[in-house]
Amino acid sequence: MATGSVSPKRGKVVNIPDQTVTIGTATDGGTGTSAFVAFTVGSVTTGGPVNYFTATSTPGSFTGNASTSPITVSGLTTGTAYTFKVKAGNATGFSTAGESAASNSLTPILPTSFESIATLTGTGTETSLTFSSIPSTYKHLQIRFSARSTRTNSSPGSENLNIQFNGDTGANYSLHSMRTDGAGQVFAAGSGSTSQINVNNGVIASGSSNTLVYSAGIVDIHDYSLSTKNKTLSAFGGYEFNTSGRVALSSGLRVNTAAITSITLQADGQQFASGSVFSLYGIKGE
Amino acid sequence: MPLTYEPVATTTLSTAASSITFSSIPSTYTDLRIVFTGTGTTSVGIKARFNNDSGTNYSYVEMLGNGGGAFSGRQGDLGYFALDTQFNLSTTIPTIRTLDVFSYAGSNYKTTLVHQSNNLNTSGNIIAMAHLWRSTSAINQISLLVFSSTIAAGSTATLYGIKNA
Repeated sequence: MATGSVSPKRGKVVNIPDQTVTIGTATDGGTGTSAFVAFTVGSVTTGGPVNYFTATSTPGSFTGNASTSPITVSGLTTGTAYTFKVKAGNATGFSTAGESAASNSLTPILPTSFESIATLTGTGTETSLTFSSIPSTYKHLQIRFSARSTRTNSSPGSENLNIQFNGDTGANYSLHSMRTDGAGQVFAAGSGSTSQINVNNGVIASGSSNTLVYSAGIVDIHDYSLSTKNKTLSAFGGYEFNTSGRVALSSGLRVNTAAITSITLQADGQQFASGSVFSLYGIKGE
Repeated sequence: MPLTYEPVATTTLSTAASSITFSSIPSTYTDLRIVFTGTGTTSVGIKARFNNDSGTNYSYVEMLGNGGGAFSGRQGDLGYFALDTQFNLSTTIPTIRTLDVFSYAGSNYKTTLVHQSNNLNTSGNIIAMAHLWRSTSAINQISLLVFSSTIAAGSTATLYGIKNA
């Protein structure tokens, strides 16, 4: 005969569990109107079995059910902050242990085609910065940066921003660029079989003066995860010191069809100054 | 919590105006982007200012191509961002100005990359610029403006916020 509490339904003996639930982390459900609610469970000492777990939102009392973690709660309002509690139950009712504590606050947001992947910052000691374990789930990548080097033996000066993919230091890159310092001439350059892509041709600001000036740039890497294409990039960058400056456009190529999983950034052997920021974004396709 | 890339505000002029201003810009993004497309009521140059600063704290370097050659130029100590160095607004065909403002809420000087696309079928150019605003203040206002004329009705400017991880 089953043990445990007795159902109010006449003539029927049922078991209500005493399952405790520990709340985990609530995360965005990826639709703009849903959330994933994680949890863990303790042991059942009386009653049982537990057939499902229910998460309930505050505000709104939106619910979701699942037999294991996480629980998906739908019907939420985009932009509204919610917390969630979870409780165990079976056909008879909910656990005598009651609900878990409330989760973290979670505000559902609409999914976008342009997502932030990672950010790297200079501290004044790095001669290279690397984005690694880049997910293959986007169509294109974009790096946006604000940076300068620590070199002080020219004032003002600049370094090249060099890029390598997947740790490849072989002669597998080529580039073309055009740049100007504003003195009337536009210079063009091109190189093949290089060991890196020299993006933006001397576009990282440096020097002992004007230390408040940071270069800016946008690097677009196209179809980075396709295994049927060599990898191309385009870049636009520059800096201005009021008395001098540089602006440059570049295109680059890695002659290799492997998906890009890491991107290494270097400033011609110089160190990236504190405050330098490189942000990696993923751009989805249809 | 801001999205990674989202529109903050859009202004489409219903009547001609001497400026389009985005004010009370939140400091919660990493970079800003402004995309302007429009015309002038006269062939007038368009400029930009940050935080209504009219001091000589702006400078730029540029390179351009006009189909006949490639050229470059620079100016320092200006009282505005020059978005009209080689091409005024047309009175008939919209042209484009894109401004990318980096680390706009930080405490360094503010670097902006500008791209101009001007094509009137019989003339035009494409221009890439790097601008500097020599101020350590966070940017909370951006104005696109013309002097002694107006930006035509129908012109549009959109401010986007871009937030890193």
